[in-house]
Amino acid sequence: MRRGSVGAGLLLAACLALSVALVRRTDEQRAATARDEVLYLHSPALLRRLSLGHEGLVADLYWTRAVQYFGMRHHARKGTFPLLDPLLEIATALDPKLTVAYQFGASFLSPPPPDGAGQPEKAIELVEFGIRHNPEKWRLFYNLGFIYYLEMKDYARASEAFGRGAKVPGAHPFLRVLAAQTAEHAGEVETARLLWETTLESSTDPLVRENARTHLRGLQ
Amino acid sequence: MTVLTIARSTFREAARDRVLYSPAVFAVLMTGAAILVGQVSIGIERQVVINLGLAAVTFFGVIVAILVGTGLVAKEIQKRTLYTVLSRPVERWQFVAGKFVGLAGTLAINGGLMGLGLLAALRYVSPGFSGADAWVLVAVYFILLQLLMVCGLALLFSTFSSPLLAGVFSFALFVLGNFAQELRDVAQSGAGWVHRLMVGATYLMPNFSAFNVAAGVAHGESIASLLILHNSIYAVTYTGMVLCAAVLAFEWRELQ
Repeated sequence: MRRGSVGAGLLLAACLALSVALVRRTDEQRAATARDEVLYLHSPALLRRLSLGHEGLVADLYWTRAVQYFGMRHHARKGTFPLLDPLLEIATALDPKLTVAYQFGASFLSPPPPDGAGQPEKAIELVEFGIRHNPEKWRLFYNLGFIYYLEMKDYARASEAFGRGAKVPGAHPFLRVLAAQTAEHAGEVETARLLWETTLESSTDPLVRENARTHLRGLQ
Repeated sequence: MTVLTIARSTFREAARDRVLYSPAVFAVLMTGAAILVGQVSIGIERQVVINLGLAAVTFFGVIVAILVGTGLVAKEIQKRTLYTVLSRPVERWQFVAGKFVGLAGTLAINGGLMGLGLLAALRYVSPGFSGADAWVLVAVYFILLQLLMVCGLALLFSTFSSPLLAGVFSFALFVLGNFAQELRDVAQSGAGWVHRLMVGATYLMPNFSAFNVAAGVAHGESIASLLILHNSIYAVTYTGMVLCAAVLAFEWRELQ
């Protein structure tokens, strides 16, 4: 190997190491908020146009950002999530079929802090928007009834939501039972247990199942 | 025969320019994205692979179509090989058609390989193929149709302007083509000759609105066969119109 090549290679490695060290140093000095908590573009219509026909990809990015944002603030026990609702609104406006954003987004928004954003009314808006665009997804009705029952303590509306969901073709048979149970035995521990057991039984997602198990343990 | 000979030479030239390396970059990108998204998000691995894959096919395809397409005629003039070709019994329209077929073939092979890479990445995130995967291939087909139109536009501009300007014009029309529906709605609201001029201008630019089906197929939605037929006919018609314009521009061009 020529001496010039060896010298250039060594210099390249040294410059790379120095630049990495400088970037890391700069990152440490920057406030964390400056990196994570700024939403530059609020308009889904503008983002749709900027995406040049790939709004689904932009929606995926915003949903991922919502997950990361919630996860980081939840882990840091910050207790407030001011950007969570706008992030979810943008993701779902860009891709109204992104049902995962309604299901998980509602469970991020509705519980009281520090476990969630304490915005059950926003969670209801989000899920209702999802139902308007995906009326064939019975699980969204289940999510809606769940929020009304556990977070809003509005048992009549919870029963109504479960009842609406039970009418969707292919809906889980438990929805009919839940509709009757919430109407007749509102506020009872057994009803709450039934809700969480249905969640545990009907979900395949490990995070949702673990959450359901935790709540069931709490009810014992 | 002459058209095919020029097409083969154009294809070989594109291959020499390492244009066909882009599917390899694509494969690495897709595999990396599939692994990364599984770690940082919830429940959207399949959607991300499809959305990112289709966006990447578009991005790489447009780059290749514009970079190669805009240099097709200019390079031949610069290297003075055009004069050698035209001194033989080759008509100018045959030269333009051959260049187009060569580049369209390069784009089709490139896009086809990336489509297969996309299917492989889908296989990685969700084992086994489903009927919905066929719609992903239709979405790739729609992107290839868009690329054909962009390729035609790049060739048209390359017949009368510099590669740089031809690149700017082609890319601008690609962007405007994605806003064609909105632009037409705005144009419809005018009145008088301005209105007619604006509406006419919107029909001259490509309309890509109906080709963007990525978000739907990512959720397993089917694509109507009428849309497939309509888009195919539109792409062929529009590309034919642009190629005729390219032939006219090239016929009128003084070559010294």
